Amino acid sequence: MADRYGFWRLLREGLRGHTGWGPAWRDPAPKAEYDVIIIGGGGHGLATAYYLAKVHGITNVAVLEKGYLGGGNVGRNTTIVRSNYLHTGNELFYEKSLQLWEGLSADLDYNVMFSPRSIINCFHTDGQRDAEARRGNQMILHGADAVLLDKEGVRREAPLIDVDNPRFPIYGGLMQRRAGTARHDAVAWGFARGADQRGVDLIQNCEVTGIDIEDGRVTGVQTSRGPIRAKKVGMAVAGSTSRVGALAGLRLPIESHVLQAFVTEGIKPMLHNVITFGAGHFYISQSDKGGLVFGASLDGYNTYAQRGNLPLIEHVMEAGVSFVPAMSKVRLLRSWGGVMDMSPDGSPIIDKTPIDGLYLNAGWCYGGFKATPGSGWCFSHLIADKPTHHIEQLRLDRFKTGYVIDELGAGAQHNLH
Amino acid sequence: MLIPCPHCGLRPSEEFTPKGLAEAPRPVIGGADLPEDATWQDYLHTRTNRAGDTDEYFHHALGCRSWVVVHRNTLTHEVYGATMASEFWAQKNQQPEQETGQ
Amino acid sequence: MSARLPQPNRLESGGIINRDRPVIFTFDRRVYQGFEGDSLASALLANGVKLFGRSFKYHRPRGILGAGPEEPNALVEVDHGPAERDPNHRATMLEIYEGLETFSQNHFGPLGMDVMEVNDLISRFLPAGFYYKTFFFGGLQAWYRLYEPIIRRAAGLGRPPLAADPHHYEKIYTHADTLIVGGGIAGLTTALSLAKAGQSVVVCEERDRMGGSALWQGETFDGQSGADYVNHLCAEIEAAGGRVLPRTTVFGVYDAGTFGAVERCHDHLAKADRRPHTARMKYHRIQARNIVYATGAIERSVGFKGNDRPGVMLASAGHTFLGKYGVRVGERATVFTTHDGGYGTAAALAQAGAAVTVLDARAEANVVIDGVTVIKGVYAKQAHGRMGLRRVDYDGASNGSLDTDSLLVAGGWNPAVHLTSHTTDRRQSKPVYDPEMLAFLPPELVETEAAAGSVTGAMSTADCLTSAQAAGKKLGGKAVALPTVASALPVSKPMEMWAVPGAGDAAFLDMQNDATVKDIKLSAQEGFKSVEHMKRYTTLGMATDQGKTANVTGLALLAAATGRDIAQVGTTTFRPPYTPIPVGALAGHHRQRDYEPFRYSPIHAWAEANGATFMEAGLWMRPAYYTRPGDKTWLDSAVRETKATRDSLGITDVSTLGKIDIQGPDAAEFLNRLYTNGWKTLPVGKARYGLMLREDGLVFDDGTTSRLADNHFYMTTTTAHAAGVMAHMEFMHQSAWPDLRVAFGSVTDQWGGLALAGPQARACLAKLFPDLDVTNDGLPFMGVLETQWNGFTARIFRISFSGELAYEVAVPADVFEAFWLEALRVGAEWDITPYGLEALNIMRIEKGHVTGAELDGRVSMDDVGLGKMVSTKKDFVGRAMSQRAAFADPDRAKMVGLVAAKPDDKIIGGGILFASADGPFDHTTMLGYVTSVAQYSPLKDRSIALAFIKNASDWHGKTLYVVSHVHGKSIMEVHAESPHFYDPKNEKVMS
Repeated sequence: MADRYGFWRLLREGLRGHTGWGPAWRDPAPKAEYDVIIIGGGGHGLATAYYLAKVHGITNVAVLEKGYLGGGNVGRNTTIVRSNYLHTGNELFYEKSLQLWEGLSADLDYNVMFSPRSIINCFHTDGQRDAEARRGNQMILHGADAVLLDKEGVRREAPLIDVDNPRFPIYGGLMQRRAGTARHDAVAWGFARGADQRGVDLIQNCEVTGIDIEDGRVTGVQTSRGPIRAKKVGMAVAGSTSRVGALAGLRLPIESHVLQAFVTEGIKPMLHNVITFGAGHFYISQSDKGGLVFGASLDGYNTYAQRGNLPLIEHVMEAGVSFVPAMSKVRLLRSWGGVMDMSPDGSPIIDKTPIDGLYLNAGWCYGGFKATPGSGWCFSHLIADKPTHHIEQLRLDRFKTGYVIDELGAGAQHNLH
Repeated sequence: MLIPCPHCGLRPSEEFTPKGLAEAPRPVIGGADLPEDATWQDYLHTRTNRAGDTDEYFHHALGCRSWVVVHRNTLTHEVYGATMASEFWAQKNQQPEQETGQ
Repeated sequence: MSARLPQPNRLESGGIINRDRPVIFTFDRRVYQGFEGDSLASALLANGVKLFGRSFKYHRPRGILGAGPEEPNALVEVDHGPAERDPNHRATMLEIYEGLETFSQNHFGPLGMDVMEVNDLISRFLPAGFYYKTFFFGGLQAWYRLYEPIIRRAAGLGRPPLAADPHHYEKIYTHADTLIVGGGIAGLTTALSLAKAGQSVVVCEERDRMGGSALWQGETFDGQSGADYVNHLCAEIEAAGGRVLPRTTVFGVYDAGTFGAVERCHDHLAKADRRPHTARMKYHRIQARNIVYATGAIERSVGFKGNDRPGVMLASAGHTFLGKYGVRVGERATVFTTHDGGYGTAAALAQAGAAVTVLDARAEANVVIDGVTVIKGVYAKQAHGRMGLRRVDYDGASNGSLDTDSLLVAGGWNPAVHLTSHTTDRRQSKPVYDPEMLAFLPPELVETEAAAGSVTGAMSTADCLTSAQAAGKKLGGKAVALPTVASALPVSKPMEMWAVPGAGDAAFLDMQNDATVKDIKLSAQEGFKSVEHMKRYTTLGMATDQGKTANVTGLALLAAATGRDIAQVGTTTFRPPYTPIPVGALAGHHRQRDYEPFRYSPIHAWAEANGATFMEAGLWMRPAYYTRPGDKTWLDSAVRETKATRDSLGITDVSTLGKIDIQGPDAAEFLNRLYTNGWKTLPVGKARYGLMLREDGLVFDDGTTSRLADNHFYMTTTTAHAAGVMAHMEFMHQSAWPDLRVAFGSVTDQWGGLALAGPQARACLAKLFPDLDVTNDGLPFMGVLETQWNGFTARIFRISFSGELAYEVAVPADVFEAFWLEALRVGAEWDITPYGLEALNIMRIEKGHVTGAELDGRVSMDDVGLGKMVSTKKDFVGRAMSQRAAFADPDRAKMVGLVAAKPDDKIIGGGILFASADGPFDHTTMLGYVTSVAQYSPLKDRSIALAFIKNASDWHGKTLYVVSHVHGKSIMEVHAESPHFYDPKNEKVMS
């Protein structure tokens, strides 16, 4: 393949002033027609296009992005990658995704910096321990890995965690060693470059304003850069699913909520793993640049604005200093918000829609980033008419049939998941 | 965010617990009660989820314990007002259908 | 007081430092002296220190760039021990105090000889985004185990604190009519205008004192010095009832007039001067109707080679050190300017005795200053001097080289518009680029906002004051008389020069992250043309200073590289906080032990004194077991308590159960709609077990509800769901059934409750209530009596969770402890034994009663064997959804009882059920899972458990295997049976 990356290339370019690096992707004008249009140039849309081209040989594909590539939630998350789910419907999918992560840098010829630094979910009571043990067991039975740590095990892994927390002492943790973090932008850019090299047109600043349907079958889209015909259209626009779905007359089981995330100034390494504090719904890791990256739950109200408010921010900081007391003096550098597609059971949807040729990839709740390669891989199979068992249960009609996949057992209320 | 509780006046949002969009009332007793029915799906699952003006349930849990429907904009976080949940659907039924183009 | 030490760069006079208070401090263990009022930066500069730190990526030696919060280079650790270590302090904002110990950071070896500087030597191989293009060799494990650890160690800045923060932090709600952000002359003038009109105002200033540039520019106001005039303004504002808060950063703008601010109260004080029990910082949640952005402007540099060398700084910084601190940053100074403003600094330095040369990028410039050499039409081409500036080469209309020890760059001003864009969506507009001013200005503001001072683009002090008057007027202020400003500071619009011709590598924009002019070009070359792509690819603006001096220059260069104009490129979105604030400041007191409140039962103190070990149940602390002499483990205690209860008499505290009092003519109808079973026929004086579903048809909660009178019910819920059930009932009543005439309230905290259980429960109850008929006829199973105990209402419910003959008695919480003690006294006759949750757990598992472990939000009524508790004649919450196909799926796992095959085996909670011990074990062969375990059941003389399994009743009497891979792949044989191990016919509870 042209324009390979790697150590020797970097050396050569360094010696000649980096004049030889070409654009990471082309900037094509949209053609009049494609075999497949993917709406949404975020991580999932780009991954879908990449796998359509790579796995299925379908290269007459356009990805239409309203803004810039990777500008949605793939560029504004806490970069956690894991497959520690309880239910088969989720675990088959997320474990597939994690396996793709493990080979992704080599596959994409792009360092996505996936770092299997493990995740530990801390628990506080016997009952929670049993529930986590069950989850760990079921993970293993689905081909994933899990270790149950006791209190001292958590202390060994993460010495700065306050396992003797005077309010919610930590009994132990469920650890997945293969979980970790990745560099979020690199994932979007790596998929974009890979798709582009295989002939996919990535079209930025191209907003879809209409979805053309004739006799119950999709025929193309209207965009800010003119109409484009297509035999198949896939939606991968989490955060805007309801808006884009409405263009096709779909009313979907989605609410939009903001999830805030936070990063501190860079400091030398103090946390190795990704760790979660059950009592505060709080999660934290440290990036390669040294910033502590953390977050907790939704603000709770519906919103499309990519920002939140102080009550939740205070809650997150309280949980943080309770869980990692040494972070009290570390300074918060930046906070931001991402708009989540919240589904009624907290699990995603990858399915056909009632409209022929229109495919839906939505409802990612908190789980979108880790799903990126898996979502693209599975969605590309669905679009290529090669169904895969990994998404057998991630159906749109499950709210009618009752086969919901409720990891938290919180019930049909979007903002509880 | 500040929420104008019809009972307590303007109060900070952290006194309230949001529940979700109030787009459809609970289907009435004796009415359709098959789970596939759109009325039930609309009540529990499906949402128009407009980017803009919406109605949303908030519980004044750390206040008067009223459930209120807050009229607000999901793009700008502007709050226009709030109605007691106990009066909301009755009022809505009395109003002529509007904005059906949504 | 220590003796005066020499400070070579300190002038004999000038500045607003307190020369009567010398201050001793250290930097990298060397002792220095400064004065009260100095920043660490000014004090070290006064002492001739040039080298402050190392950059993030190339570890280049760095000095000071700015004089305020925008500083990217001079970050230091304040270190008074592991818990008191405070990394990444900006030396320009850190006020010195007696005993302050500071350290440079991010170097391996001494600051002057950082081995990581090798990165600078090979920087040509480390362009923007280099890490995306390499480090694949060896695959995932090589990245994780080899490359990444090296990168992680090299990255980061200061060392982290390693222990809990000993300080405390306060949270304050601050209310005002108008918040003024920025305490410069403009902000103060606006504040005075508003305060005089009767508004309550709060002025927040991030720096150590009010006044902004008035403190150093050397202008006079009605003949007063800037500092004096500022004091006068502050006094007037305070006299009018306003507040001025120095050292207070407004970090974010939120919805509905909410603003976040952090006030630093201790960081400038020596330990001895900190008042005990006061906060290190105060976090103000400010609620204000109006906001005035008087945030000033931040100077920018120009891209040229070596513009990061120690000794190259912003002109305003050099001027500040001179005017505010009396520190002359160089003896042979060079000013490189693109506008008239640079001449003010040149004049001030010349006046202070420095030899000054001005390099003016403009060919046409006509400011003349005595004793200052001006070279027109030239730009600084390269600065030399790795550890400290020695020489600058210039080029342009003429070229040459100057020996110099300080280069002050005046590249233009960027108004600090950050806060105006935190809630951009509110007015659908972003900061606007002004091609005349070469700067982004605030967008059109709404009626509750105003801007004042140099943030508006105003350049002279007089113009700033005029803008302040306009801002005051907009928000309803009174006119204030403006002072006559005597100024010798020329101002003009800048010439457009973001980087000098030919600038590329080593021409730095983002000094901390080492993003160069060349990186911007490379970013555009590689297709990262969106401003967000460029920022993310080059990391420009992502360092601790958030690109305050660098961002606008970066996007101007991106615009040039991609053939667009700057307005088209646009800005990235500014995010809170404006400058970094400690995590702990926002957490306040709600940390560690006080993270969440504890809830205690009325007899908590008794339980504590009587050997109870507690376990968390939500916020509640509940006794898990009571240790008695002879108990070696918790299980000994639990088994002893179980046996005592089953054999004679046990007592337990049930005060934490949720209790809801329900009254009204439609109370029965309301319950009918909330519960799956029927309630209208429940007689007065009877209790009934009820199951509540969520609207999605799955089990929500269970409990007993009693009818105290026709229109009066008393409901109990589980401890865990008490709040949720209450909110749910309110939701259903108010949103769906507002016509129902029913009122209800939580009475959880009003009643204390105990359960008497065991064969002697009735005898004990009779003794407690001697006048009451508590026979099986007088108070049958599920019967309820309301009576008096010592003049207090007591409610007696004959209900049982343990499976024994049992009564729950509720009395007002105030007298509950007395009642509990009385029950213990009376029950002593039967050796009454208090039991905790562990014993209760054994007994309820033996009885097959479910708790939260079973009712995990994913099970249906049928799954837990309660499917017959449905009245099909009525509507109830969850009815419609429980008719969905999945609920009738024969593959649904349902509850079953398990008994360990071997007496010593302990069944593992969370274990998975398989039909065979030989596998294969995978998700297609798993049959079910264990939810609740009694490690020892006295009834079965071994471990028992509750579990869920497909085709549950088919497994009764058969052998299964509990497999737990997370317990070393433990495989244990168990026998399945009905989950109702104990007294399945309920003979005991009915006896």
